[in-house]
Amino acid sequence: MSSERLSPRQLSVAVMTGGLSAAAAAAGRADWRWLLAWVPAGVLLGWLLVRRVGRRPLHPALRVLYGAWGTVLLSDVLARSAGRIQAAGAGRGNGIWPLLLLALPLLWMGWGKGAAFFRTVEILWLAAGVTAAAVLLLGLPRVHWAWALEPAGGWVQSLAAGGVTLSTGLFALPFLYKVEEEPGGVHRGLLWLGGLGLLAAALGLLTAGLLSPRVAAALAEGPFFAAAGLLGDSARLEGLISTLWLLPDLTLAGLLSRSWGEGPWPAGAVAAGLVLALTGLPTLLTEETLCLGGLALAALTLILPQGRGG
Amino acid sequence: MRKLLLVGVGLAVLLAGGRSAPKEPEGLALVRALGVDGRGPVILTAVCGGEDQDNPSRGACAGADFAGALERLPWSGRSELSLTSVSYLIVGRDVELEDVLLTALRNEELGAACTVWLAEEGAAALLEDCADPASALELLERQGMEAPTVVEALAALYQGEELCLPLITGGEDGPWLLDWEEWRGTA
Repeated sequence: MSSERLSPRQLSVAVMTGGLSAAAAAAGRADWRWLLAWVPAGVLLGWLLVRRVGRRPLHPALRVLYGAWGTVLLSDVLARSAGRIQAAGAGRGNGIWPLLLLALPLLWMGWGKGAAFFRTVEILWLAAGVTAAAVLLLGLPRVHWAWALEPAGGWVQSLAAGGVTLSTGLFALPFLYKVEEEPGGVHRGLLWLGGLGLLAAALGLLTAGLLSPRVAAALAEGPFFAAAGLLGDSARLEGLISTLWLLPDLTLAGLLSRSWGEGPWPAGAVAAGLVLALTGLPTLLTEETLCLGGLALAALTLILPQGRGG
Repeated sequence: MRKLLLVGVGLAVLLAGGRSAPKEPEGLALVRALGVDGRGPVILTAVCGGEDQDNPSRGACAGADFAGALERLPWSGRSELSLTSVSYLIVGRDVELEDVLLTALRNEELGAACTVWLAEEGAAALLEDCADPASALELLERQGMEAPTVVEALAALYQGEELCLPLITGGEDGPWLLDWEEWRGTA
């Protein structure tokens, strides 16, 4: 394979790993049943989008929109991750430093070639996947099923959270024309997307079942990580899981930055995302706004003609 | 390469399996039992131990509220106190329990899995009299006492359900169970 070509698996793994970042953010705030309801809808929408885009680059106007919306989402991911780091330090210190420190590896990754980024993500997926599996295996037997079955969050917020998680898949579309043709590659990619939806629902169920929806709602910052902290005798486990979850965060931010194209452009996307995060834009973004943005992008991808070549 | 990875993972699992009670790193004392009294000022009493230690590290401090007192606690003893291994949260009848539990859950050091106990004569009095409260409470747990965790207690309060806490009293030999008492709080 040429170093610039991607395998369907690499692309799927990037969506799964990056999607875990959004899934953890949604867990405890969204009802897992609504997250589950998104799985068939998300896979169907994914299938339609993949058929529509085919093996051609996106329309130039779409590329601009993907870049712009990717930057907004990137700023949100940066702010969310930096907020967790800040909270781990009891809120002490200047909040700008975690943002800058997170942006540094992203700038470095953004400068490199796309194929190198996707190869790196395959390694990050091993760590993120093992962490998610360990949390689920340790946590599910401890779930209070009465709590897990209680309604959590409003249905609009829950639907929006599911939409935001699965909209990670949208940012694989700009790379489809670079993917090696493989029999069954599209179906496997959609299975990975469905797997992400299932994993998001499982994390939501776990958080509600360990904390109860009302307690989870009282924890503004990351109820999922508080729930993960319950799995060990020491509170250090929460910090460990939160730190390991920076890998999905960085993967998602890296994937979003790639919506700016090749060469040094992704590093520019990171810089732009960092500026937006520093201005405090992410505090204005609600789950509903993020979901509507993703849905609008999907609708435009279906409507607008695709670019030439590939 | 794959065999090497498997051996590495196997060794890690074996090494991780031999976990005993938390050990105190150099210069850092791990608090195992934390007592809370009052609602303003809030008085905290911290006791380390848990391995039948003869003279576990202790600390005590006061703050305007629970969060404020927690900030002062690490430097209130002879050595720096760490709250990452608190297993027992012992409260007096006069605490603002909902605030204490929510702050404990939000705190980046305190574990949400620690269990909640009610002290008959106040947490400070109980812990001061007791040589190693963590070992004694651990024994009570092994005898089948299932005190609610911070999360369980807070969930019960939020849902308006009955919250029953083990009411303990004690002396030098350690706390013992008096009864189970429904939490009503004080006005």
